[in-house]
Amino acid sequence: MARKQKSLSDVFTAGFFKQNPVFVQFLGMCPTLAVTGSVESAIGMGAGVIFVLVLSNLIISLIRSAVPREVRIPIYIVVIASFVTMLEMLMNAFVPDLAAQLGTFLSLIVVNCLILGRAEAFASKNGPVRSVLDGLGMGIGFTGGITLLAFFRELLGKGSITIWGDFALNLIPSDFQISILVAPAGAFLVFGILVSQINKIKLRRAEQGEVA
Amino acid sequence: MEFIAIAFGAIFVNNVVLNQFYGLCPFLGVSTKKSSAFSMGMAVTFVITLSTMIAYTIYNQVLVPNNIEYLSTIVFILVIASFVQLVEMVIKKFSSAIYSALGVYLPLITTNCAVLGVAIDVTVNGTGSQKLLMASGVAPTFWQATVYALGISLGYAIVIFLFSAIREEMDAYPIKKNWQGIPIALITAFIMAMIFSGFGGVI
Amino acid sequence: MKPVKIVVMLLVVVLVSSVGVYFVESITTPIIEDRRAQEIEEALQSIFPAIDGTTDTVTSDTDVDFGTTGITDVLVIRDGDDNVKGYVYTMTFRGFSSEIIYLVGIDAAGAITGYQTLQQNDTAGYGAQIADEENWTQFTGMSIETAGNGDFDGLAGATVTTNAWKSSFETLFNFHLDTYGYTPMTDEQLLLQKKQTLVGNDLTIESYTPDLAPGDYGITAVDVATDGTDNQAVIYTVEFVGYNATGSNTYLIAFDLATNEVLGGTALSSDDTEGFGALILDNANWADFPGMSLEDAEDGNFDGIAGATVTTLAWKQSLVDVGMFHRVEFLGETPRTVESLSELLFPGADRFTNVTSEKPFGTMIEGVYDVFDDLGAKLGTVYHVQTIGASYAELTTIEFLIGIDTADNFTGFYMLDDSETPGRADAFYADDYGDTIEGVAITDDYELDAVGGSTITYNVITAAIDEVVHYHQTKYILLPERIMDALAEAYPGAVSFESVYSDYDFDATINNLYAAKDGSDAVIGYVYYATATGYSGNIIEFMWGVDNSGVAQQLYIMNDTQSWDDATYAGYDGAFGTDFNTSTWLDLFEGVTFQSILDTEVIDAAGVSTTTGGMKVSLERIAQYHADQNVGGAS
Repeated sequence: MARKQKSLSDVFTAGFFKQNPVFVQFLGMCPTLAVTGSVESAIGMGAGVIFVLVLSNLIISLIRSAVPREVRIPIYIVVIASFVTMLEMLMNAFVPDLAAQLGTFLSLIVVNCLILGRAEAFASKNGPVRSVLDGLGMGIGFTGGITLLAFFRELLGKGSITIWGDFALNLIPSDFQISILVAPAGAFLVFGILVSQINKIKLRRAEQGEVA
Repeated sequence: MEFIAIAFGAIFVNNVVLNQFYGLCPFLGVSTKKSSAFSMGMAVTFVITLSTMIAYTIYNQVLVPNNIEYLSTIVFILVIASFVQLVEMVIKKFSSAIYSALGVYLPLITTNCAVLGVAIDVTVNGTGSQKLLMASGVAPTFWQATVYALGISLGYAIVIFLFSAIREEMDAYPIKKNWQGIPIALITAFIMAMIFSGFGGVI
Repeated sequence: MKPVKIVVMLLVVVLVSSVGVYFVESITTPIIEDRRAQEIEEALQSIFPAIDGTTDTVTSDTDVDFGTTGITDVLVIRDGDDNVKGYVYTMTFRGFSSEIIYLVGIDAAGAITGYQTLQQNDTAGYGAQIADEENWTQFTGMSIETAGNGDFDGLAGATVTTNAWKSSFETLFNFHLDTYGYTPMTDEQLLLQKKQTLVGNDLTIESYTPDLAPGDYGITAVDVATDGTDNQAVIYTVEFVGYNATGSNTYLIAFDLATNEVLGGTALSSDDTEGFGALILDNANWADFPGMSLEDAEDGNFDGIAGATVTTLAWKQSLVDVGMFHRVEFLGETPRTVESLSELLFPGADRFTNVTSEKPFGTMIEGVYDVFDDLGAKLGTVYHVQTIGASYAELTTIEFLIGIDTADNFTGFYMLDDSETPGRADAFYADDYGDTIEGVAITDDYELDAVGGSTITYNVITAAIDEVVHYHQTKYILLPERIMDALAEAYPGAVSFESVYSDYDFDATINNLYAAKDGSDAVIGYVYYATATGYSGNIIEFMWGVDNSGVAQQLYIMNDTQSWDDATYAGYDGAFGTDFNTSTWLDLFEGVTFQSILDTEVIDAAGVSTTTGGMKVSLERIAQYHADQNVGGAS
């Protein structure tokens, strides 16, 4: 119990690399693979997750002392589900195209292990400021991870990156597109390759660490 | 014939894992051994089918008449959580054999998005009607929804079992360190997904 | 107290959450509804362009049951008087890997007014092509029945999605027919609509009565488009025979009357081969036309139909005719007629007399015109010649005029009509084509201007000119008095004669056939003007009369220079006299019936058997002709 508390900046940046939810913790895999067909929907999903994660972490942290241990999970789920429902309605109203693209996965943020996981592992034990920072950090890490994945899939699969119809990056001629990458199956392939390469870097670092 | 088509579509064409990406965490996490994969598959089949029937009934009998469809996400997740809890209690009380086989997997199912995903797909505004090979916005009947849920969960069970069998075999081969575990599992899933995408041409 | 706390806590959380959700819901619902309405309105403008935002009303039909059709909405568009103008369907179907939603507008006559894919998530490069606008435009103007039959272009390489797309259109068509029905436009309305499309909706289309006979130019109808005061454009309905000689193709082409540019064209029907000539129906083959100059249209400066050479040639040729009609009718240019061109052949001419009916038949000679100056002196003759062309296209004709003066010199050559290869044809039309023939004696060799690569056509033309020269020398009689004299000799009892050869078949031996008339203009008999071959190929011209009862009258040898002596061979003693006409041998063919000549063998004159033999062959042939043709009811 005498463990020293992590600094606020450590709390915030933990999710970026060291505990990245996508590539290290493998949390929230369903959206990771499902919505990464385009950068646009990946960013949209990431924003949605940040919205829900930050608010649910905040509320759960605020009510953490009032919640009886026995029913904490159902209560967390109700809180999370409420925010997800609000998010759905807000996105349908203001960014309808994106909401249609994300489809059911918007609702499925409820069961994204990342959110319930942070609620249980962090927000229920820490104060509101730290919880918000944790939610924000983890959310950004998640968004960055799936955006990276979506970047490779869309670029190699469609030859160009298009975001909200205005910004388009055409890099690869249509003859050289690998359209399987934007199909569902391609998600597994690209994700697998990315994880293996990140593992490679980690392994090399670990070896260097041993030598040093 | 219609039910056969729905079931076929659910098991193979719109395979819950390989095409829809529902329930990936347990798919990758509980597929290292054939025995545990089989148990997980059975547990999921049981929970998805029954919870879909319950969710369908509540949605159409309670939420729609009261115009509070927008609460469906909250209601469904509570229903699923409670149902899983109930099942666990019942099994524990009446059959220790089944409990020892399935029991540990049941809590995991609460956060298996396949359960919530299927419940939402068969109800809300016909969101998933195309997955049931139906026209958009057309709500399936109770039995269509049930057959679909059964098909989806069987598809889940089949795929997770096949997947675990492959992974068990793979243990015998040397794999580069950085590819071990999740990466090679993902590549395997990629090949399986490619194969399953061929079913898309059948219907 | 613990259970109470749990229940209270749960209730509070659920309650607070529900209130929060309800609050957000009440804010967002109106926004979502507004946006949907706006989306539909925007889509309507492109799906149903005829919609009038101020008077028309758009309502969603809530009384119909869509069942499992995949139709999710039908908007009914009504005008200010509550008449239905059309419908806009929202249709959904499953493609290869996603649900696809599209909008389609249908007017009251069952024609599609617009199409738009609203949503799809199919495989890029395959099913996703359904989102490309180039796959949408094909529907505009198409009948919903055609679309229902699947007669539209699918998506390249995406069989599953294409089949599902077509089957969704079939479902939609059946639903539309069952639920609302429609009255298709009549053929006239459709035709009018097509014409209107060519000239734009601001002009009124009226039928036009031209001065020229449009049928001569392959034109079946002429319409003008007027703005109320002036005619702004003209629309021709044209028919031509393509590769399939038993059918035809029809098309519309519109010209701006101010600029003489093509406004546009479109094919109406084609009996040609599917996939080849019938591709003229494909609007892509008319894409070159808008803005094209009259000259380019006449010269065939457009792509034509790939793989359908014959039909393309015929199409281009028909535009030459249309251009000619247009130039004469609307631009006041001089038509290429026999009259106008004849004046060019004989600049000093005052009068042209069509003497064709008085002349013997010539296979290529369509007309013979005698030319006189203002003093009544004869200047020469114009021949109107028609022959069959050598183009790849079937049944082409070449028509030209050629003049020969009284001194037997050519006065010139003009092409009248030529359905040979466009471009080449222009060369033959050129004013200086045939100038080289001017002033050349008809018995001399001549050479026309060569047109590169058109050897066969050139040969056809020169062969026809040779034919004219031969005709002029043998059949066109330069001295009518000589004919009159000979006729009188052959039928002394007749007062006047009239050529009736055109009523009977042509025979190579017979130059002409005249009816002999008495003072009251009654036909009393006939005179044959014919030729025979004498010794060493000499041509013997003669006249031979026969009365109505078939009794031969006089046989008169016309050749002034032809003497019995000339007909002899060395060593003949001249016992029958030196003048052929006084020969008693000829008496054998006078005063007897034609039938007896055929029945009884007439002896040759000994010593002049070649001359008399040739005569005998010709005379027997005439007698036979007389019987076969039943001249004047001879048999």
